[in-house]
Amino acid sequence: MVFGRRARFSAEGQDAFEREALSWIDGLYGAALRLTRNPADAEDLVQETYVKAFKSAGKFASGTNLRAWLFTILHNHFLNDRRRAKGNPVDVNSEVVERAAGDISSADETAEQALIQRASDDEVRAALEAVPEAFRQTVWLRDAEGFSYVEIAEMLRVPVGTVMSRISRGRRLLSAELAHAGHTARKTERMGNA
Amino acid sequence: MRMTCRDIEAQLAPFVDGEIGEAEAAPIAAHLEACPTCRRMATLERLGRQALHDCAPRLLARVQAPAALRASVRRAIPPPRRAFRFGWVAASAVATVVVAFGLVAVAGVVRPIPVFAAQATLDHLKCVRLGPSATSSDAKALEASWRNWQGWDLHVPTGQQGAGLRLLGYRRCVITEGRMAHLLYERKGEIVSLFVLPDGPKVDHAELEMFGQDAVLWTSHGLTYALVGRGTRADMALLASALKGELEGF
Repeated sequence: MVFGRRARFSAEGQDAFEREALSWIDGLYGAALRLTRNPADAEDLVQETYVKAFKSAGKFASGTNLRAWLFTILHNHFLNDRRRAKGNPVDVNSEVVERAAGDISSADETAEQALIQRASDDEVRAALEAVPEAFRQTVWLRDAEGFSYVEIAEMLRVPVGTVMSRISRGRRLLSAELAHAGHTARKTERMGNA
Repeated sequence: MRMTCRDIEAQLAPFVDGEIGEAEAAPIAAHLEACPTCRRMATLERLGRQALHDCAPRLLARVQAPAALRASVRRAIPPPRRAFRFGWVAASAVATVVVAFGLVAVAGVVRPIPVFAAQATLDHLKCVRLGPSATSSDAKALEASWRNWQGWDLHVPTGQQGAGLRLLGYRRCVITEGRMAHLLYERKGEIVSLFVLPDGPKVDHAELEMFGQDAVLWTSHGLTYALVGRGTRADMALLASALKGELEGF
């Protein structure tokens, strides 16, 4: 058809949009896994995210962060699903958090610091798992994915102030978990040597 | 202003991230200097931040989307005629690109028929909602008004000789600077557009379907016409031949 060539030409911007959107699939799948904790649900979530993104591509302001936009769709979709399933939003039990944060004894700060700094990838991953979800997600989005406070606030649909305080506490909780795990490991090691 | 421990906690994350200005950071730093509890809080926060920072790239690299998911996402990409399906924003973006090409066509550099048809179709889609800028059902009055505005002779068919069209008026198009005329007609509640381009691509007769609309193009007395609307192709061809007949009589 005569028009075919032109149709492709005019769709070039769209192609670029789709290409870039597809390039973030691994990151989105990782985020979906962290949220759903189940590969099948994670695949569904990613699929729904792309369907929504392709459908509302017109709403995406080009020149802005496509990756952040996709992450926002994914997180919002997950929150909607969960709200539907549970009938209420997720609550953070702040008391548990306070207690956990208070557990760290400051007896041997240098040793503790060394334990945290020496932690392996798997130890960090395990320690993060022990951090309550709201804090874990926020810290991950900030320190692993590198999103801004505002972007994270949009993804999690909470005020920016809440994002900042969750990041702060989440990091401290992570440190506490690492120190605790390292301390336990060292004790076990010592017992093994004895 | 002296800061309390509670104030510090609220600002610790942007402080540690270095995302606040010097003026705001100074009182926080002073408080940390004086308060061992907050200082320890900041230390733990820095350590946690650094630990995750360091291993995140490797942890992220471990996760890859399954091939089946990749394939099914690819299948979710809308089919080729997506420019229109993506809605008005995308359509106007396309229109802008095509109009830019159309202007080249007007200037006489290239005169491809499909480009003119695409421009006409997209202008039709964009502008039917806006309605005519010069409203009259009097063809002669519109011709006079056009000559007065643009300085070239536009033959306005009444649309009543066998076509069953009701003349609504013309639109002033800012982008084409009046080099292309856009006449609007009404038929069975639908708007039909007739575009007239002086010195446009010469075409005996062409029928194209694009963006869900039908366009019929022809040249008559040195002017190129594009009739655009939604109907069956045969229907549009019939309308076109009625208008052509009327124009031949000028």
